[in-house]
Amino acid sequence: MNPRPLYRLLARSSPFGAPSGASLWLGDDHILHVRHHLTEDQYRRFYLRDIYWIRICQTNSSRILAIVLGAITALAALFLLASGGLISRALWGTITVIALFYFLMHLSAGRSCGCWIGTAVGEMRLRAPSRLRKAQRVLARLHPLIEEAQASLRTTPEFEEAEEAASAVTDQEPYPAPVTPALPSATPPPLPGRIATDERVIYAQAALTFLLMAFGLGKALFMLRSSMPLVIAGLFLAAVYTGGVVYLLIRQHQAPTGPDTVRYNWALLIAGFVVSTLIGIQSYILQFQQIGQDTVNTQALRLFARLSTSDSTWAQGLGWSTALVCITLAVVGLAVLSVQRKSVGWRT
Amino acid sequence: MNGSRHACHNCGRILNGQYINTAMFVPCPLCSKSVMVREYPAVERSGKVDGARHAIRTDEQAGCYYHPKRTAEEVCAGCGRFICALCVVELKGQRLCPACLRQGVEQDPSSEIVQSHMRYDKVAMLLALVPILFWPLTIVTGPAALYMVARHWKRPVSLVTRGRIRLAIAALIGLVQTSGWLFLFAWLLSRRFG
Repeated sequence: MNPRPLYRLLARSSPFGAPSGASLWLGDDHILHVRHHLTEDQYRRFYLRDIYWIRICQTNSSRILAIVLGAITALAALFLLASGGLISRALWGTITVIALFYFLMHLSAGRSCGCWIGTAVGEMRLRAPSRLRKAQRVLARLHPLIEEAQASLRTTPEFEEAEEAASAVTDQEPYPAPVTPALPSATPPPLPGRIATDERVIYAQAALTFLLMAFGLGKALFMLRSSMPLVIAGLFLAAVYTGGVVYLLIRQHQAPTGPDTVRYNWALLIAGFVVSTLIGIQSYILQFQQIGQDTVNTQALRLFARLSTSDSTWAQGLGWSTALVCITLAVVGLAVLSVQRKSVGWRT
Repeated sequence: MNGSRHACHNCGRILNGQYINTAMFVPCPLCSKSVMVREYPAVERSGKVDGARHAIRTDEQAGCYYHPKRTAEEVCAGCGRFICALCVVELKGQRLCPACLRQGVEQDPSSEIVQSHMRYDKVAMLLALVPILFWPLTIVTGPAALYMVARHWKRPVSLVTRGRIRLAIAALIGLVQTSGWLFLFAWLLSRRFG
């Protein structure tokens, strides 16, 4: 087996603890862009000699993420202040500390940016580095290496004369259509522009967004179960969004196949399984509440029954926070979809 | 240098002239977002054709195996076929044809041109950790995580990751889960028959 080349890390985009993201590595004569998915790493090499240009542009994503993280931190702090009892305070205190940690880490990282690299086959967006300060340092490190690798490519008058003489040969006869042999399958270059995805991925993302909205609305209205008209309205909206999930999955099945379809469908299936399980657990707990604690004969189930009482701050806080987080994620997903759908001409 | 290939990502304003090859970030003239563009000598050669290397074959010259009407420029180091300048791929000092290149990738997944790696260490971690939320599933996923670790321990984790810490942690958690279930079954059996 050949010895693997040594790479030096240039930048990493995934925040601490994230299961996916991207990273940029420097090899002997090329840079390696790695996309870290949940169970797979995808590589893209850019040889220093083939790089045409590198472009870095500041983006607004850091500002949006700061608002979201700040809101989550504030919400968790509010629940911490409103909660009573040792267990609920410990829970909300832990959530507040974690949210505050990520919020401060995000602020210290600086403004976000996008990096694009241009070669003969087109341009590609690099997912790492994703911060302006880091991107400047990476570019400062790469620039002399690229210049050195391309020193022999600088245009000289002698080269221009040789090119003109050589091109005269090709003017005599048009190029025949080449018979391209089958090459190892490669990931096709992404579409130009801000968004690079395929239609099936958008359907899967839309279905996931609708699923979150259905669960969030259903959970929020369930927490208000003392008001029957609101419960009925919530169930109706949840049913509408659930129907939307089914419709989007059918449309996805009819859409052209894309390279990321399987990955996002797995994410959708896992999310659906988790949501269904949580709904099932909630119903199970409610059933225990109705039956009464006398029938409970194990410590674990007694704990569930105690937590499910309507007067428990723990249950109230957990239920509302679950509903609000799901709705927030769904709203963000809808905002992202409104941009992404334009890239594939998808009409709502 | 042609600056029309560059545009601000936020507002779409074309960037050219004074916005190219600046040492520091400059504000976009329209949206004031920081931008930096560096172009390299290779872009000056883009679009130019080396006519001598794409010469059309005459009757006296040998032709490419994949493009019969083109002059053969190289001999493939793997199979010995005559190939033209379009087909030749240089790898580790060897000049190969596309078929030998593909065969080399299939035979050696750890080669430098591999394009993806299945992260079995992450799969093992997921199998070991996620089912803890639904602990009855660990009766299956615990041994599955152990199997995944044993099966893929010697496989290269990734091009850029050399450590097997995730596999070790997954093995430890899987071992604890499997041992717990075995202990539970042994205790139940001892109560039933003891």
